[in-house]
Amino acid sequence: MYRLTEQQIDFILSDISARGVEMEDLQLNLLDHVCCIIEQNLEADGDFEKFYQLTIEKFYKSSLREVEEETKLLLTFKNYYVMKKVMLNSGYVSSVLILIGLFFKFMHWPGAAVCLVLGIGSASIIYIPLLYTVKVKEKRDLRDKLQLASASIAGALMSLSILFKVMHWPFSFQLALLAMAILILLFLPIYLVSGVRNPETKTNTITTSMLIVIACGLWLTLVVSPNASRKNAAIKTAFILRNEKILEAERKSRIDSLEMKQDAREVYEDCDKLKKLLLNEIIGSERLSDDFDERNILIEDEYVGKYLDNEAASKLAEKLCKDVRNFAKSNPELSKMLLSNSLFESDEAFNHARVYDVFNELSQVQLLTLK
Amino acid sequence: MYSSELIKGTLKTIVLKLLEDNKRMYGYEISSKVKELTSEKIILTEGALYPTLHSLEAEGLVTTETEFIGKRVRKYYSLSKKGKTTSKERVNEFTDFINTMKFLLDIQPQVG
Repeated sequence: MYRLTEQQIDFILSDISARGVEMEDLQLNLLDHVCCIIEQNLEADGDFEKFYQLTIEKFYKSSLREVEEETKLLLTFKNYYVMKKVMLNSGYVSSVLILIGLFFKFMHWPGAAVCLVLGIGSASIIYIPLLYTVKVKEKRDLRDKLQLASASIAGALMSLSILFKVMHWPFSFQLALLAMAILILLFLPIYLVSGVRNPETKTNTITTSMLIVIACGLWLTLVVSPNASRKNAAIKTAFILRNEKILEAERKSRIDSLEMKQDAREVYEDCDKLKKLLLNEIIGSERLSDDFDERNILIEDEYVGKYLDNEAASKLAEKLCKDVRNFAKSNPELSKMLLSNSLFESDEAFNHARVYDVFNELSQVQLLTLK
Repeated sequence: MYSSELIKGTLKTIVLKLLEDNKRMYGYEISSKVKELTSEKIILTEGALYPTLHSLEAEGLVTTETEFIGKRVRKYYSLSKKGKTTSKERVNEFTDFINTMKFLLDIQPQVG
């Protein structure tokens, strides 16, 4: 029986590590195993070096690293399998939810927003990250990994940006810009460099790169510049102010409010209250002043539902709808004008309307009550 | 010696059953025990044994304790509570499998 010296044990350990086994646990297991074999089988005066080489070679087919690779494979295989399953399922669920959401949106049915939020949300937060985690295991090069990572991040950000856009949440535009910056500045150079080198993929790579640039360019041409959108808001705010002044002048010249019929007066006052309430929510004051442009007090074109989500406002809107319908009944000649294709056509019409349209329509209704 | 494909599917069962019968064992001990019990018909290679032991540990089927033998460390494996039930299940499953294979491959029991 052979007795190993401390130096020989150190030698074996460093050799195992030099052969590519990095897990400490595994190194120690293999070390003990080799030592046992040597001590059991080598004669006391045997040749350690030669016997060690012969023994360690029996551990593997082409290199000792195989043992560690097999260990890692067994350890991660279970996770990998579960992850792949979750990834595929989240992909199915996302696509179905998005399709249902789109259909509902087209049909104007309730529940569209919930489906779209869940669908796009799970696509960008669950599906794309898992797709990356599963796919990155197949890539060996750092460059390939980086390429996959940048594409995944850009994709997730882009779909989140669209979700934020349809939900009227802030930062949608910034998300899209970030996604495009990553796509153009990080993904594209790596993709182009690795694809162009290989003659087989050269043409495809160049074509795809150009398509990406064109797609980003097309998207950016749709964006309204901040200056243009400010100008637009200023024009619309001026419209609203002008309407208010015309209405005021009409009211003074035509009729004394005391002479108005009860139902007309109700409508007129409801409209006034609702406009004040909206203005207060939007610009923090009940009146628009002449110098709104200089003071940069602009009314943005949002959905009015955003400002009407408190109880007082929805009660007022409800009362107005009722009063307008009463008023239309006693004035049949105005009925069609008041009730078709207007805010008062249905109960939901109010929440789906935009701020500019609501101000416009309220002023028009008020003018009609003055007749 | 049997082919590695045959052994691969039963490796966990072999290790679990040995640990059930011997309380605690270390890697070399397991492989020499198998060699001895099967008259060298089944040889557990190091490249198959240690990955399996690590995977059993990660699944919580075995617990480990380490002991210093001079300069080197020896890792002893023993069955956890979960490992004991799994070991029985695996052995039962495999017995059933053998019977099915006998039937499927039409192997006649040898007489005498």
